[in-house]
Amino acid sequence: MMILIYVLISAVIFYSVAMIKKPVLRISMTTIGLLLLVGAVGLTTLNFNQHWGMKEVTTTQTRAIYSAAPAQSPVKMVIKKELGTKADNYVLVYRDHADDQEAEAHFIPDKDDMNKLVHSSATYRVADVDEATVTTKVTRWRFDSDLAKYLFSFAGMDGSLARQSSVVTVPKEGWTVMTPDEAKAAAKKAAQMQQQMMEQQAQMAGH
Amino acid sequence: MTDKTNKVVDIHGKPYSRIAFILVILLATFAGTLNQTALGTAIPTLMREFDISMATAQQATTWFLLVNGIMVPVSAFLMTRFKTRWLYEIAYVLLFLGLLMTSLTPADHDSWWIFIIGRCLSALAVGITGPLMQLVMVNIYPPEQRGAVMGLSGLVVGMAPAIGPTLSGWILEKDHIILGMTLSNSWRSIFIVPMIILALTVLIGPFVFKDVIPKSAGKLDWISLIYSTIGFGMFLWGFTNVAMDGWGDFKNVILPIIIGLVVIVGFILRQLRLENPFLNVRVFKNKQFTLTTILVALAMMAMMGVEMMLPTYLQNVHGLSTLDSGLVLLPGALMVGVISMVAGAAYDKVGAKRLSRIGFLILAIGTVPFMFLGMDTPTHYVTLLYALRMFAIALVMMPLTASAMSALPVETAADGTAANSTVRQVASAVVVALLTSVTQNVINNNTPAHHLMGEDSIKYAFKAAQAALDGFHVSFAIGMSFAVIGFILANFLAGKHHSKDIDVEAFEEGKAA
Repeated sequence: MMILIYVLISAVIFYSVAMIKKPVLRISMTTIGLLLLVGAVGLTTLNFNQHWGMKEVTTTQTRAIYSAAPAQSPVKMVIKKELGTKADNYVLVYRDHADDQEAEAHFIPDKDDMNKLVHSSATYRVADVDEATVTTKVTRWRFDSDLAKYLFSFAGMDGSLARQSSVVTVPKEGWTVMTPDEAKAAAKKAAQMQQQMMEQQAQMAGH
Repeated sequence: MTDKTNKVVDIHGKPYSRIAFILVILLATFAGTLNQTALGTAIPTLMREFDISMATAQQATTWFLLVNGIMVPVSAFLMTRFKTRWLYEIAYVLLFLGLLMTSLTPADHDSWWIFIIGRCLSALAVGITGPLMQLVMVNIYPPEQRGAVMGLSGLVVGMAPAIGPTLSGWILEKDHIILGMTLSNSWRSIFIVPMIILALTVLIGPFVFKDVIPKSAGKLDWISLIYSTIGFGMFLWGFTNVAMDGWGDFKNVILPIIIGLVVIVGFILRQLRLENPFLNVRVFKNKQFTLTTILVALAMMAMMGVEMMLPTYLQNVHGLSTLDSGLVLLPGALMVGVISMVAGAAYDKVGAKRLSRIGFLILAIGTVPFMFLGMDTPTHYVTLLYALRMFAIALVMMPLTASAMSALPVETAADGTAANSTVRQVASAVVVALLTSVTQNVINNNTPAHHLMGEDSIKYAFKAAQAALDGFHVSFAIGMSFAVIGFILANFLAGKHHSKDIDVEAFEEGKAA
């Protein structure tokens, strides 16, 4: 709707300046046109800069997650990669479903969308719970009135991201959060132990 | 010299086809003019490929504009000295070579100067062919038919720079298959389309180009050419260096700007002494003409400043593709074409003062939001506000260009055109350099310390993006100040119906003639 308003105001101003002969009428029409334009441009600016006519709507969603380690592994794990040494902001690797073939990396920064990039965060905590979960809190801008929606919906402001944060919670018992290097070392150690155990079993069977 | 009923003949008395002549020049002019702004959307690509800063990359445009401006007065001499046909052929061959050189530049930091030399060579040629086209049209069409042809050429010259960024955005988007040939998405391809058009022009040129401009024994004042090249060149170079060295640097910033200014003053004094000046600066004694020229330059500066910055904002902050960033600017570009025609008609009725005052006011109102652009500003708003700005610019530019011409007596009209174009081109070169330098400087100063990247890469990205926005905001604020200055100065224009001083009488006479 705002597009149409701009076009109309511009047309009125142009018509007044170029076509109206009587000075008083011309000057008052032009002035009204300019004031309307200031209003329209001002509202547009307030809308995208101060989010005039919009309100924050937050939705929170919690889902179960599954270990990144292979199914036969006795220890369940989430692999973490911190985005910088003091960021407290992580890329986390886990499975979305128990039967997924591969664990997937979550919360990889989206370099193509600066707004999303800088307003997203993800971290983890270890707690006394039974199940591993991810809780995502998303805050989006929504129109707070029909008028604002009528004027500005064309621009796609509705649902633009204000901020989003995710917290992965893992149980204290039976789960571990480690870096890729630690995960590799652990996997190696597990393989060694398994081999030792098999050798021992073979020896015992031989006796 | 020509009449509808008589056969159209050239200065040698031989008949020729006017339509073919005009169509070929229009096409070639389009290809050449496209180059002025075509690199706007390619700036981020060039920055990446050549590993250079934004300010360095913008030199591809600033030096083009500057050489273009310096060549305008030279062109006036060349046109009357050489045969039209061969002047065209030579200019187009030069333009082709310039484009070829630019497109073949090896993509590394140290070869960037080759790119710039190629751009200067192209600008040299475009600087000749632009004014040449106008003079050819005046010479081959009688006054009563001139309006339509001039309108057509105005549309080509006005639209090409506006379409430039969108077209190159489309080329850079992905590989395109045209007529079974693949046009790759490299920046080099931007130059291929104009090169093909020009190669064809050069081939058929000898058959359609005719000598239509009467020769006269002009003399080129070489010293003036050297003065203007050094003066304007140093001046621009100084502003370009602000990006890297900051305002306080004496050797690379202050000194070249001062030397440039001194040489420019020397150049002007020389023009006042010469009997047949290189660039007739005496036309600026006419207040109305000077004022309109300054206003046209301000509008041009306000336009280029934002047009050359927005693609970088859209690509680097919003992550838009080159094509999408070009498309955001397209409605505004088309707006210029439409409004120029309407504003032309309105100018005849109400004169330039009223239109340009309102134009500058709308321009100022429409530039305010650009100072508040953020990371999440929807691009549709950018399109809408950009179109509003372009509406305002067309409202200013078209009537003022016409009025600058009619402010002078007919016999000095040619001098006026040259002076007007030179000032406009040089001013936009300097302002693009200035704006990119200031933007780059602000970005450099506000970019967070590098160690933050290791500590918290998202926070680093946030602060870096904020620094980029700060830079853009400063340059848009400068664009805003041009609009405000323009509005204030436009109030001093002579109104159409209130002729009080001598200038206005000359203005009215000029119109009548």
